[in-house]
Amino acid sequence: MLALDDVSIVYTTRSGPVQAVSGVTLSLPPGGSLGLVGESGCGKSTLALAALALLPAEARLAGGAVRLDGQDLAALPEAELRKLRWTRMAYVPQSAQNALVPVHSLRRQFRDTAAAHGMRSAEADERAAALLRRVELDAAVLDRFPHELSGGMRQRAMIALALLFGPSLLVADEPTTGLDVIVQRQVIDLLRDLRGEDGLALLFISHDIGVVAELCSHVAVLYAGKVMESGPTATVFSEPDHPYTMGLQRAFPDIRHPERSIVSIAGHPPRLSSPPKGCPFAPRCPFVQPVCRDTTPPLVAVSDARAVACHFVDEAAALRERARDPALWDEAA
Amino acid sequence: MSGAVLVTDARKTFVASRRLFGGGTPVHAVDGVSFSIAPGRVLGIAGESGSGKSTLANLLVGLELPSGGEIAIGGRPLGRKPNADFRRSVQMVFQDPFGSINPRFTVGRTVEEPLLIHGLGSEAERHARAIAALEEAELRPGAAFMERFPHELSGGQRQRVAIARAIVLRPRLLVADEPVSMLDVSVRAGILRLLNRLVHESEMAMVFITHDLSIVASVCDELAVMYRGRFVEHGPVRAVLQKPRHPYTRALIAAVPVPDPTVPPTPLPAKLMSGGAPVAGGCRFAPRCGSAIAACETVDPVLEEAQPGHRVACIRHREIAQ
Ligand SMILES: Nc1ncnc2c1ncn2[C@@H]1O[C@H](COP(=O)(O)OP(=O)(O)OP(=O)(O)O)[C@@H](O)[C@H]1O
Ligand SMILES: Nc1ncnc2c1ncn2[C@@H]1O[C@H](COP(=O)(O)OP(=O)(O)OP(=O)(O)O)[C@@H](O)[C@H]1O
Ligand code: SF4
Ligand SMILES: [Mg+2]
Ligand SMILES: [Mg+2]
Repeated sequence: MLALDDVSIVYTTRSGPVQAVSGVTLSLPPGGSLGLVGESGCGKSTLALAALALLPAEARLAGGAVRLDGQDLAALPEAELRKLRWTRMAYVPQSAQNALVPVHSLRRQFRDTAAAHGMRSAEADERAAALLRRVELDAAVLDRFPHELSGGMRQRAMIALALLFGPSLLVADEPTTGLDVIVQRQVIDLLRDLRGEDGLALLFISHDIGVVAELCSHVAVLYAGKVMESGPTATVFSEPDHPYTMGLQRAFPDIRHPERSIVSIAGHPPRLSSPPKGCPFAPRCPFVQPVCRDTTPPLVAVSDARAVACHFVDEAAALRERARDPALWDEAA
Repeated sequence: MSGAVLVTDARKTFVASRRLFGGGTPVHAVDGVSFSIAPGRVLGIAGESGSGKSTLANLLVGLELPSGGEIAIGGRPLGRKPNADFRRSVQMVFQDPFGSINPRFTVGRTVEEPLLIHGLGSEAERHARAIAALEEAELRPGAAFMERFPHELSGGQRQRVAIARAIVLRPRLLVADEPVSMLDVSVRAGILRLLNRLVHESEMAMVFITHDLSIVASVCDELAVMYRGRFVEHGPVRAVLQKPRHPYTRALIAAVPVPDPTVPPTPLPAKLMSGGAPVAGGCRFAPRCGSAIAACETVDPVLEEAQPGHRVACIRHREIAQ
């Protein structure tokens, strides 16, 4: 349903162009779920905005195409896009909890959104009540104001609002970041139900691989605006083929194993105003070889479902073994 | 008692003044908390948003004055108002490494400032102590960082500057309120290891506040779980994580996402999300507790020892532990 084909995105800034996304190819089938993970600034939100054709004025699609059911979004007039955005796809932006208008009741926010797309108030009220029940909120919250709701309630209300026109794709940018673990679980369970029972396709963004592991069947690991590795969540996290994924996985604590030490990945992502030559992860990679600094490894399919961008993908099994040693990551520090 | 930190029945009550929140209703943000921490040890405090963690932290560093109870650091009681001695003995590291240090100051000035405030040392001594603190925070060589500005540093490096500033006075207690929650996963371990080393290689004690239970094991010796202003469970960190006894602790642990897609999430009791306000005189967790029985509405449980050093405030903890 959603396909990003070799997408590149550049921000124009006063200090020059920023290559936020470089040649990203992703696809999400109807009813599927794809998680985008990676550290701050790797381009997750930029990709979400591109998927919705909502990039800000200073950003430019510098290459590639975004297609929704085969239709190139760049070829559609803005009016057409605006309709698509609510009826076919929906968006829960980063820090959505604060995206509700503070001085309006929820009823007013549902009605205003409805009116902007030609839905009448009576129908909006009816839909709103049903959607709020769907997200396990009492319809009585319609007459409340955002500050009268907890963070988790606001987040669920935002999801309900996004579903007003019955979209088939939901793009959710860090919808659980900043929520308590119990509330986070509630939002994850809700999204999982919407996906399973209502057949909603989900493009889910998070820096938390635990949340993605719980919710998404597929994952793409981003670094410096590029896909490092993609494939089914189960195999990518159990047998990562890319050194960056190996590091992320070792950096992420697992509550079931308090005795296991976590590592840090020394260094920081490259500045996207002057992207380095070669593999973007090379300056931080414990397995780096001279070739990595000269030549950019292409994203190659390693099986029908998985793709990896590393020169040493053929040696992934041996690298995984070495990556288990925390000292390997510390040495690089 | 020779402990670095001794807290006895600490309380903080806020009276909400804003009309929106039904003016005048008191909020018992910290509602009778007692604990001690030995030198060179770390107490982790976890709990959901609004459970009172930051209020307790603010009491410990003297940013808020207690409404009741006693706080003593290194044998010095806080008394009615923190004096300079007390303030020197406890320092804080905040969540936001971008907000907690002045962007216009050099790293050197930031780290030297507490020495200046307390009138300690000559200019040369302050300079030397700041460099030493930076090196202890693993910003090496420290001298190379002195003239740099915050915007030239990564998030992890900025948090290290905040830590250097906090330890430059050699406090008895370091209070770290969510020190890694704004940092990328890839740099968290380094900061956690640094805090762990600083405490365990010295006489300084630490209170480590977090809502993320999956990281407590890597820094804390003990863990306290806070709910509505009280400790509901407190014990050795491994014991609490691996054999949690309070139903709230169990729920918190079950809710943590596991980075393994082959493991199905542990279901949570339905009541946990829907429960209302507690009944006066009963257990404050009862309305959300999947294990509550009628007696839970009438008994307000106090912390009792379930195992040596492991305390739980739940009348059913023995049955639950089975
Ligand atoms: N409006 C903008 N103008 C200029 N550069 C931008 C703009 N928005 C984002 N960028 C840059 O583009 C890159 C990708 O940013 P993006 O917000 O997509 O990252 P992200 O992965 O969502 O990060 P986070 O986890 O912090 O939300 C970053 O280097 C960022 O600095
Ligand atoms: N200055 C204040 N005035 C009134 N109420 C306050 C004040 N500070 C905190 N509170 C209330 O005290 C309670 C505890 O708040 P606190 O900030 O200590 O929680 P917390 O556990 O640190 O939460 P979080 O995880 O969100 O940081 C909350 O109900 C809060 O609204
Ligand atoms: S290409 Fe080289 S630098 Fe990049 S991840 Fe693979 S081994 Fe590391
Ligand atoms: Mg983002
Ligand atoms: Mg707090």
